[in-house]
Amino acid sequence: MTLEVSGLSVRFGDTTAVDDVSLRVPKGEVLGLVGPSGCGKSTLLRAVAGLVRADAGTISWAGSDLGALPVEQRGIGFMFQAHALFNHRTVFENVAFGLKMQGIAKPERVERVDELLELVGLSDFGDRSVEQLSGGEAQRVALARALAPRPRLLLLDEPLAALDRARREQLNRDLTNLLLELGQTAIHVTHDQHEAFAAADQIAVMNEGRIMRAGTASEVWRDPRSTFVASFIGHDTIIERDGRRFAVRADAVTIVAVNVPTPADKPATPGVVVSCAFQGDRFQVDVEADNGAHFRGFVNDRLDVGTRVAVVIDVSRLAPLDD
Amino acid sequence: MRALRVGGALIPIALIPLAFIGVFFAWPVVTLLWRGLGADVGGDGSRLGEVLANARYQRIIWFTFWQAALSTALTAVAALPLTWAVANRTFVGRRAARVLVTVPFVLPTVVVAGAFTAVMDRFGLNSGTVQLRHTVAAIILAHVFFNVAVVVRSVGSFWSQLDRTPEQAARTLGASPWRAFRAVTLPRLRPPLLAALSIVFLFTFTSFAIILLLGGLGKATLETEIFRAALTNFDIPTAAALSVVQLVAVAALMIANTALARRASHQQRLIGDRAQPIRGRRDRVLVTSAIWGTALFLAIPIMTLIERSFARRDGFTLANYQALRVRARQLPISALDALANSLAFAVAAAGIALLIGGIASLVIVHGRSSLSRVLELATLLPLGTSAVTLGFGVLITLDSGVFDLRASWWIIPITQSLIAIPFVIRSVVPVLRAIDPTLREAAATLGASPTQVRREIDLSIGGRALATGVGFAFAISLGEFGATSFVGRRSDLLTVPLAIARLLGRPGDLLRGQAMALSVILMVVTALVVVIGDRFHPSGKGVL
Repeated sequence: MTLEVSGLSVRFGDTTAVDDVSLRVPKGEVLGLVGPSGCGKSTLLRAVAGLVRADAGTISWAGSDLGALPVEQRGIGFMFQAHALFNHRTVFENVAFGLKMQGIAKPERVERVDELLELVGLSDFGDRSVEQLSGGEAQRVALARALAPRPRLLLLDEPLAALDRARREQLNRDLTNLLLELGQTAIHVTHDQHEAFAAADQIAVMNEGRIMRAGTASEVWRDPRSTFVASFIGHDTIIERDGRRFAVRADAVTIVAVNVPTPADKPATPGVVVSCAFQGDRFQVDVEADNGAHFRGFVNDRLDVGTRVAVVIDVSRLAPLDD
Repeated sequence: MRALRVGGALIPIALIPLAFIGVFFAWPVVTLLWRGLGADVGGDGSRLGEVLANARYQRIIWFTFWQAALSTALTAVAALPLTWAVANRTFVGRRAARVLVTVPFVLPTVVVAGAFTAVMDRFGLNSGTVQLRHTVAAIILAHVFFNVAVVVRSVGSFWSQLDRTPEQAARTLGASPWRAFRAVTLPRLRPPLLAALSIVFLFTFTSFAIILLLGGLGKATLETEIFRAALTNFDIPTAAALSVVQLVAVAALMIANTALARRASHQQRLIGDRAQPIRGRRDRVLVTSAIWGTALFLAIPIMTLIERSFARRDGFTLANYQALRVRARQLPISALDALANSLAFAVAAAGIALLIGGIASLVIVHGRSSLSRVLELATLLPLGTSAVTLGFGVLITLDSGVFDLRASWWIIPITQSLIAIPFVIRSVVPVLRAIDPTLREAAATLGASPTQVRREIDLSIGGRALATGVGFAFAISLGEFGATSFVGRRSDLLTVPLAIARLLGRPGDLLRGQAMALSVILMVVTALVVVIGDRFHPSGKGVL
């Protein structure tokens, strides 16, 4: 059983928000969908859920067409950016909502809600008003609510975006572990590549309505293929060698003192340190090479700004670009 | 954004409120304009020219304007101390002060007239050196009593949230407190103050019961003159011509008010309650006298009304209340039967307002944009029509064929509901509009069908606001006097406000006493319904 999206397009007037997108998510896997804001990732997600009508393309689950079904019959769960909890209902009633819609009897409903509240660590919260919850608690209630009706597919539309960074990383780990543990098929949209890398089996990078690159996290990181994907995932420097363009991955860069000899397959470029930022376990160093290029690398000891260094590049770790 | 529209069957439903407003409001008003302008076939031409040239009517129009202007100016002066106090100082009972000041405003106008009659009776102001009976002063005092709340509530809440730093900047630049107030604060208060005063002007311009009952025959305004021409002299053409003048004036006032309200709503940065605790003796004296001065002014008429309702020559008794069971010679039915009528009409009017206002609110919030805009405008128009012109229009329009409703029981609650529907919509629509649309989407992704979304989200959240609106509708219907004077002509369908007006209009202690008792009952029921209903409103602040 697999979610298959093929040739999906969504247009708003003259702008094409989603442009001929195809993707597959096998049962039990999590797809991380990343891209800058406005790239169409949320719209793609909303089209899959049925909240936005697609102008072209098909959406199917295990071979049967979902595109013609209204939202409420697709069996797709959704976690919204601002959690969209029902403020006029208690925590219990929020989680029970989907079960009530399915016409499930009260005793079973109570049992399932208790199970889910325990799963997200909010067992005693059933009677609370939603307005009393902290941001993290609200997100966990939203997750329990989305999971309660046992959706075939869960869509997460940057559910952690509103939280502060530390809280977000923690919750993101919890969320990932939980989805894996449950074997829940999901698409997790985020604009933060770290979040996606941490959360997903497969990554898809979107830009301007198109999927630029899809694959496992390490495949995408090692071989981004396009300038856009390379810079989006943090390969900031592009160099040209033998008429081809390469993205310089951080693991391809070593920064050494000027007088250290370098092997022939690892050419050294002389330059000067322009910044050195403490990162706890190491220093992140930005170097401006004499030929004008910028490189970023990591060193164990502090380097003063203005220090002359050599940037050694491991050619085997350069990522060739197609564009 | 082209979100999937949840549900498609909105068009036929939208026709229900549109048809209702069309038949019972638009048609009567258009007919009235038509007749007033002399455009009806077989009519005897327009009296508009004659009316405008007639010196007596010119005086009436002039009086209508200046009594409204004077009432408005004095309302501003009377409201200023309490407005300042609630906006700038925190004190015990501040919230209660804001609610209690609203009580006179929600009282039926006949009750206000009754209360001022009680004051005049009690303190012997009907004759002698201070003579209030049938004077402009009585009218204006009653208007101020009635409208103080409008200024205190709207300007007070704006002022309390106004950013104080510009004023403080003026002080650091050497301005005295009074100078800083005049040069910096007052100009910023002007938009909400003007918006509130334009509402007061509109209310006093279209005031009916107070003028009719306190002013007597000599003090006619457009509103009372339409009533007199139509129902005493049976001079329909003149009444129609006067109605045209009234409709045009009120429309102009409504337009002015809308413009002022819009300016008031988006000019200043409001940053939560800025009121400070009371500091120093002078401050305490000012706040205390502002509160007690206003409280006294508002409480005296109400207290006197209650006292008079229990008073007979031989002391305090329940006789006035007991007498309500027996039909007085001056009334076609007993006052108690009138109360039964009023309650039945109020239930029916509230039911109609619930149905029409509820549907209209849903369509306004969810319908296709052009349709919902038309409906929003159509359902709010009755606000911009005086009760007398509305009642008169219904009376002369729904008099033939299938729509001959003159003798029907239903014409009374229907007409009253027209006045109430805008309040239901104003209570519900902002609440529905404030619902985050992702809540509906969330419900849909959890398996809720469009109908279930409406029930679980819109109705569930809007339900309390709807309850508030329907409570208001009930109260409005109970106290409605202007329009009911026209459509409630069947003697067995007498309502409480009509009964009070009749009893007040005749001399004699016994009848006065009954009028007071009946006013007290109406006052208590209305105040209860409104205060409870307002607490229900989900905004937490209420809509009053």
